[in-house]
Amino acid sequence: MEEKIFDLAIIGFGPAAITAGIYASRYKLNSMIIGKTKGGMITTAHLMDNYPGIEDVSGIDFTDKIVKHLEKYKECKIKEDEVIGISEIDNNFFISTKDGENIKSKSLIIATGTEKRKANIKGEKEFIGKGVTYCTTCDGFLYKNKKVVVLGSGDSAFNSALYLSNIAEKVYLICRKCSPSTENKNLIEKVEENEKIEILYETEVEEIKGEKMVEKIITNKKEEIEVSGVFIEIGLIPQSVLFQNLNIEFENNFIKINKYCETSKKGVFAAGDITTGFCELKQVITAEAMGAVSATYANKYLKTK
Amino acid sequence: MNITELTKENFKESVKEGVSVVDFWAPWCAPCNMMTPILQNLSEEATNFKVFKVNVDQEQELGAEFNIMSIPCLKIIKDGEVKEEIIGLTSKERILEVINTII
Repeated sequence: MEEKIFDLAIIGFGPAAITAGIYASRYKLNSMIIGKTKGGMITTAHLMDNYPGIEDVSGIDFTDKIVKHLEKYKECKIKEDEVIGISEIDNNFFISTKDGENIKSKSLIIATGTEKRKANIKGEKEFIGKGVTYCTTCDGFLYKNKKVVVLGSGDSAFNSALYLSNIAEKVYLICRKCSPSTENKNLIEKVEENEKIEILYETEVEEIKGEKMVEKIITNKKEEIEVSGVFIEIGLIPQSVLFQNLNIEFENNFIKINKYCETSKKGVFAAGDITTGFCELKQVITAEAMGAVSATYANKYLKTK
Repeated sequence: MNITELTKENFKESVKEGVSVVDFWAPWCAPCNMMTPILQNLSEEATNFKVFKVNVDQEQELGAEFNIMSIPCLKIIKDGEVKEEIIGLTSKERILEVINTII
């Protein structure tokens, strides 16, 4: 077992965690990033065009850039591994990983983000990989000239529908609500004007059916729609279960933070999509801002320790 | 050594004997890229099975033949016949577990 104690452990590997790693390195903190998915959720974005200074970049290319930037600094160790347990003794944190390592740290930044929410529809689980998918950029092109349905009414559902309209024969966008929940008017307009996309508001999918592969869906209006693909884009759930025993405050499973990215527990900071955040906006740029703030205040905290 | 990429020309011949792990993938799929080092490692340690890849963007016929609707998708093949599949990002341990049920 490693006896070394780190100044800061950053849990997660998305833009918030990576930015925290860069800032911590510049503060010369002896830190470690531990996360299983390099880049996190942004890797599934087919195109990002709202990040100042970098136009039209794919999630994967963007991830490569920020990881490379982080790797420039030797102060922050990178460990691609999954955290399976975490506890606190006398203001120090003990992290155990799936690979069997035990890491000890004086402070903590939690930046584990979110994962895609499942819809809990009859047939959903059975047809995963047989027509049901949660990653439009991964699987979209496999539905060339086929009919597909996208579930959801937010930003990611509208984006998915638009992306799929370039590939599929027909895209049904099924929204439970009576209007879009995204505020992005430009996006809504593009979707509404797209001839391949049909939006069905106030509709729910009750069942996904097929023999071996997805063949159709049945709505709450007892309508049958023939489709080969069901893309589920109904929101995100925070990856916070692991931290329940740290005695920090949550709000709907998101970690509550103040403007310094401090949680309710001393020495524990949080950043990115897993937090209640500074505002409702969940973007790469806001996640990175929180990463920078959390590392800065972790550094201040360590000086008082 | 890199993992051999299969095409429709050499697929059948390559998997017709013994146990093969075939990874159906595409370059823009992030979870697929994350699988690469795991498979590389698996392939280097493999003694009683083979590891192959199929780029479903270039090999659309193979993708259709194997009903690939979500990637990454691993097909575990024994003597030319698909015995198991694993969909989505998975661990080396899980792949080995599945292989061991077949060998």
